Amino acid sequence: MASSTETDQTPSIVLRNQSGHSTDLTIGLHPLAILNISDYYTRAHLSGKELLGGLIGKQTGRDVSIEQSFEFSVTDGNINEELVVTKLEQFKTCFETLDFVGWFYIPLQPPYEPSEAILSVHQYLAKFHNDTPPLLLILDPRIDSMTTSQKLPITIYETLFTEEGKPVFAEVQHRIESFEAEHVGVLYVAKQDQVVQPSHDAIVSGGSQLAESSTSAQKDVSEDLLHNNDAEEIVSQINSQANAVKMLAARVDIIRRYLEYIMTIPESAFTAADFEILREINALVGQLSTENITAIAQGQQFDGLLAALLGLVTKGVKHGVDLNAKRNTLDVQLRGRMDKIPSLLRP
Amino acid sequence: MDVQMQDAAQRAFEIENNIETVDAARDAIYQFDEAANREILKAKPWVTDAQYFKRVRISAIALLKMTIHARSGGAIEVMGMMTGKVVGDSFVVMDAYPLPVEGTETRVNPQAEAYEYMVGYISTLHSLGRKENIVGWYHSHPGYGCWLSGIDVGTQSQNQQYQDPFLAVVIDPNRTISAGKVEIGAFRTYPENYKPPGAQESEYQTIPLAKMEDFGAHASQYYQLEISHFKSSLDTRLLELLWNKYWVSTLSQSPLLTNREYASQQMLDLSRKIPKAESAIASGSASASAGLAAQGRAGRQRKEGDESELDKILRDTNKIASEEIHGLLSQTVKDRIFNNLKTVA
Ligand SMILES: [Zn+2]
Repeated sequence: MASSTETDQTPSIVLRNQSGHSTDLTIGLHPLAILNISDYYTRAHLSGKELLGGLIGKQTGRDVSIEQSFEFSVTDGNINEELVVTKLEQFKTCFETLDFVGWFYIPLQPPYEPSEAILSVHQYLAKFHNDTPPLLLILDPRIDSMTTSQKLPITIYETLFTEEGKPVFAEVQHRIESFEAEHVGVLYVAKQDQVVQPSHDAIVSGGSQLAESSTSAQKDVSEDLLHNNDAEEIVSQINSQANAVKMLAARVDIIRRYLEYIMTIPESAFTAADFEILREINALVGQLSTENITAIAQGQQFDGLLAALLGLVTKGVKHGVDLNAKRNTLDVQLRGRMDKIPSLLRP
Repeated sequence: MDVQMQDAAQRAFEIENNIETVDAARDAIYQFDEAANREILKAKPWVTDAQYFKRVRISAIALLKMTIHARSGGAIEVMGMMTGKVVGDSFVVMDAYPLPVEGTETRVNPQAEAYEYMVGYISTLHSLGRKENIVGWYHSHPGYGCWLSGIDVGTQSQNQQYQDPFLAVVIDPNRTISAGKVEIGAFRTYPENYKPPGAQESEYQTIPLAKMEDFGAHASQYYQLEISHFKSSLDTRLLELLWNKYWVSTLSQSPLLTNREYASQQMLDLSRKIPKAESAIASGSASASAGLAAQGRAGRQRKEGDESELDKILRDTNKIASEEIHGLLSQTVKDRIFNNLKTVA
C-alpha cells in the first residue's frame, strides 16, 4: 500500500502520496465551523479533556458542506451518547437541512494527524452517519506551525479501506465556503478589536453626546487618533484595501520571480517549456483587461459626486433655515420689546 | 459503546505546559469565574442604577452565529438567545443559539415550544460543562434598522423584570449585506416612569418612513449599549489565514455595485422624508409671525421638532454621500492599480 512510503517505524494509518485526487469528494468548509472549533479549544484546552466534537453540515451526493460544530462530552474515554443524540436533535429542530457529517479532533500533542488511538472513536461515530465512516477534521492548534506554513491548520480526512479491509485515512482537499452574511461577519470580526459604537454622524453632530459616549471606548482602543466612527471606518477600509494590494503584490511577485528565473536559464538548457504555467499566466493577464471598467467607473463617479453635492446643498438649506429662524426670533423680540413683557423674551 | 481514548487525556495535561498556542491574558475572558459571577448576581447593582450596563462584548463566534441566523430568515424575523456572563458594567456574550420560532413583529415572544427548546438547550450546555447563563435575546429586523419596536420594548422590559440581567440585541441582516458590515445594536429598557437624566436621545439612524412612528413612540424608553467584540488568540490566527482566501473579493468587488440597491432605497426613502421636513419648516415660519405666546411654544417645539427633522435629513444625506465616497475611494485605488498599466522598459 501507499502508506509503506512512510519513513518512520510505526505503521501509519494515514494514506500518503496519493496519485492525484483519488476521491471525488468535494468539501466546502465554512468559517463558522472553524471558529466554532477554535472557540471550543480556547475554552476547554486547559481542562485536560479530550477535545473532540461533531461536525454539522449537508451532504448531497459527493458534495459535503461543513457548516457548524458542537462539542462532545467525554468522560473516562467514553463519549456521552445521549448528549450527542440530544444535540443532533436540537440542530435538526432549527436547521432542518443539516445533518451529522463528521467529527473533529484537536490533538494536544503529536501526532497531529489520525492515529490508531482515535480509530475506535471514528468507528463508533459511524452509527450517526448511516453506518458509514464519517469525515474526520483535525485542527493542529500550534501557533508556530501556522506561522511557518501560512496555511489553515486544518486537514480533513475520509476513510478508505485497504485490501485487507483495514481502514486508512486519506486527506481530502477542501475549499472555504461562506454564505454572504457569513462573509461579511468574518471580515467584521477579523478586524482588530474594533469598537462598534452607536453610529453617530460625525459630520453633523459634534455634540457633547458623541464626545461622552466615545471617550470611554477610546480608552480601550489604543489609537486615540480615531475620534469618530467615520474616520475609523475609512481607516479600516483603507487598511483592508492596503492588505489586499499587498497580497496581490506578493502574488505578482511570485510570478515575476518565476519568469525572471526562466529568463536566466540559457536557452540550450531548456528541456521543455512549462506551457501549462505560461498559459495560466497568460489567461490571468488576459482577465486584467479593463476596457469596460472605465465607463462603469465614470458612471459611479458621477453618482458619488452627485450624492456629495446633495449633501452640500442640504447643508446649505439647513443653514438657510437656521438663519431664517434666528431672524424671525429677532423680529419677534424687537416687536415684543416695543410692546411689553420683557421677561418672557429671554431665550 | 466503549470508546477508548487510551491515556491521552492524561498526557494532554502534561503537554499543555509546552503548548504555546494561547495568549493567556487575552483568552482569560473565555474562562468562567463562578465565584465572581455569583457575587455580582447577588449584588444586583443594576437594580438601583437604570443605566448600570454600558457595554456589551460579543465573542466572534456569537456574532457570526447571530448574523448567519438572522440572514437565514430572509424577510422573516428570527430570534434566539445569548449565553454569557456579566463582568462589571458589561455583558459578555460568549455564545448564541437560535430558537425554532419565526417571530413577526407581532409575536416575538417565544411560545411554549420555544421555551421547552430553550430549557433543553441550556441543560445540554450545562451537561457539556458550560456554566454560562442566558444573558439576553436577539432578533432580526430585516431591512429596517436596529432599534426596539413597541413590542420589543414590552418583551424586553418583562425580561428585565423577571430575569435580569438581560440584554436585547437586534441585527439587521439586509443592511449587513448591503453595507458590508454587521448592523447590530444592543439595548436595555428603562424602568417604567423612569426619566433618563439629560434627556439623552437614542442614537440616530435611518429608519424607513413606514416604521418611523413605531420608532419615535418608544425611542425614549430604552438606551443603547456600546458593542465591541472579542476573539481568542487562536481565532485571530485562523482569521488571518482565512483572509488569505478572502482578499481577492476585497479587490474585485465594488461596494458601489454590490450596494446599489441599498443606496437607491436610501435615496428613495430620503425623497419621501423631504416633503415632511418641508411642511415642518413652512409651519415653523408661519407660527413665527403668529404672535408672542405662539412663538414661545413654536420655538421650543422647533428645538426638538422641525429643526431635527431637517437635521435628520441632513444626516441621512451625509450618510449616503459618505458611503458613496467610500465606494469611490476603493474605485480609485483599483483604477490606479489596474488601469493605464505602463510597461517597464
Ligand atoms: Zn423587533
